[in-house]
Amino acid sequence: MNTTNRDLLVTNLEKSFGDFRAINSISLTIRAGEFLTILGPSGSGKTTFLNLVAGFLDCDGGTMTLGDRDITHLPPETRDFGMVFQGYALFPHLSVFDNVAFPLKVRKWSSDKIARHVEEALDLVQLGNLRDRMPKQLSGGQQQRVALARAMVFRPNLLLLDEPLSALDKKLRAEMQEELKRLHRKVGLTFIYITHDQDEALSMSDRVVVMRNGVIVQEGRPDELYKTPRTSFVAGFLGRSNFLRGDVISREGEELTIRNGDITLRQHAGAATLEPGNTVLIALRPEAVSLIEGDVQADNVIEATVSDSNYFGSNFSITAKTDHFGTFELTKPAAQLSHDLAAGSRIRLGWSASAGVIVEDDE
Amino acid sequence: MATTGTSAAHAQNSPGRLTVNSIMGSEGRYWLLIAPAVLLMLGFYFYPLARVLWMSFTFPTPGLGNYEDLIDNASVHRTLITTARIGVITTGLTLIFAYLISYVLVHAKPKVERIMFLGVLIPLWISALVRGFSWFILLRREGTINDVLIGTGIIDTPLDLIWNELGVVIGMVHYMLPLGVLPIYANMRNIDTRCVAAARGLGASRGVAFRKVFLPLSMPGVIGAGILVFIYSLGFYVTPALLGGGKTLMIAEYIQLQIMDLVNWGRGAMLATTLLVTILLLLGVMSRIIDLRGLFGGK
Repeated sequence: MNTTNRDLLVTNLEKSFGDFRAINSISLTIRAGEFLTILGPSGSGKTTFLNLVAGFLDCDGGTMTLGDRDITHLPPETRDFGMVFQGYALFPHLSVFDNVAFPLKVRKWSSDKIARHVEEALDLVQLGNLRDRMPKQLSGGQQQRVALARAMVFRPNLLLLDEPLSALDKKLRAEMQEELKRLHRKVGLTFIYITHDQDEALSMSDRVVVMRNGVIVQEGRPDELYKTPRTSFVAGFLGRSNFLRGDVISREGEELTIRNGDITLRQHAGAATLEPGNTVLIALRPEAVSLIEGDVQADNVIEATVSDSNYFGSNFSITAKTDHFGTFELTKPAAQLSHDLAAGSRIRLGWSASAGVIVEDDE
Repeated sequence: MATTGTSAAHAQNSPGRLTVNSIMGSEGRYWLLIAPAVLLMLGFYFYPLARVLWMSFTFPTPGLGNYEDLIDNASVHRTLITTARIGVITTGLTLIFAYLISYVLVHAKPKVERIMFLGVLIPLWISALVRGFSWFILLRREGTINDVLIGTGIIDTPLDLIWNELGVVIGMVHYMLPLGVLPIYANMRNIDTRCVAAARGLGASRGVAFRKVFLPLSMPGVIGAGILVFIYSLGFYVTPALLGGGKTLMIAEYIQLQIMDLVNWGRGAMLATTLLVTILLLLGVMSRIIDLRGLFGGK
């Protein structure tokens, strides 16, 4: 099978609603077989993007090609994309079997071929025993599985999932995340998954695309995005970050010296091209900050006052008021914590020059 | 169970005193509130109605004599057939137009939808008499439509658009349209538009998605509207009397003729009974097939 030939290539896609530019020149390659997540807050354009790919909306500009086929202006029914809707959109007047058989019936498959494939799809989502039920007799998780079976039964070119887990409770959501990953591995279909939930994006995807205000802010593997966010928005939306602002006063190779008031910080430049005089924003993950005790050395050390400390079983989350950088958040494994961290106690926070990431300020 | 329990306990606590609760249970006081309405209905509606129905068996002589007309009276036959035919045609046409209007309404932009909806409702607030006479102005031989058609040279002699079955059907469809639109529209409003989108995404063309998803989902509204309009049509009086010109007699006008002009109370009462029983039978049959309570918003 020639997999590269089934990549979906999106080039300079545009869509406006009146004066509002919902999608602003998006280009993206979706590789055949990958689990791609489009992550963004509401209003970021991610659902519009999905509707453009599915063909429910017609784009104002740009092109979309699947392999060597131009699909830019094709009606949705000819694209052969499976879609799982937010709220499932099962046909309430049809049984589970007929719901799943729908895409095959409109393709005019023979009835025994339909029966065989529907059984297979229902078995795949472990619903073989509920084929005669009506949608309203099913639980949310079961409806979700029917929607998945229906979207995959006709062997679509790719599967579009629009926040499919948002209506489920926390436990069921975790179960369905596993289920989706299992299905993805098993059927080898391209998944385009839309969500505003950063945990889903990080745990499930091969690649994450972060969208905001109709443009792609950053794309990459989940760990890449987490470790090296490009902008302050990505650093704050994907996981949590502390932000430190300062002026570059000198540069020696990779190492920058940054000053804010009477505090001097050491920071690796990373990919950033910076010179003395530039103002920079550093994003620092809560788990990268240490509590400094005694005469332990660290590249950067600042003082702070604990304002709150929350216990989460495996770890503590501590909020502290720093003298120069506002409120800081740090997390520590509960087992490592020997300090008295009552509100009001003074602590020293430290981190290495390579722990922070210089990000573009886009908030 | 709980009700009888509390009322029994209550009766024990106050021996010898007859309270509303001790007689009717704790819900009794609510029944008292609507008792005046119930009494009015019984005295001024059901009693005379029952008398009329009873008259069909007793006047002028006791027995089923009046009902023999159903079998062997040609003018009764003609009236019944005309009524059924006009009822069916009116219902069919009303449903088609009401469906189209509702479809456009639910797919229109909210602002346009509000204006269009007003257009559906306003006729409902205008008396059938006024609407009948308005059609009279448009449809008669020297009316607006014939004037325009002759003036532009499309026809030489005026068309007979009124004082026949065509006129009755035009007037009745117009009258029934809001009654048809309301249930269909209400039902279409509740159809999840994502279902249609899902059908498209799963490979159905616009037409197939409509036929296999939207149409079946809108059927409860269509059936509800159909029952409402058909029953209304069967007993309709004003519009057929105005636009039928005495030649197209439907059952309501025929009953009026029998009682007011021919003073034939027996036949009039018999036909009224027949109409009532037919409608009840229709509702009975339909309720076996479909969920009427759901249709008329009963749950």
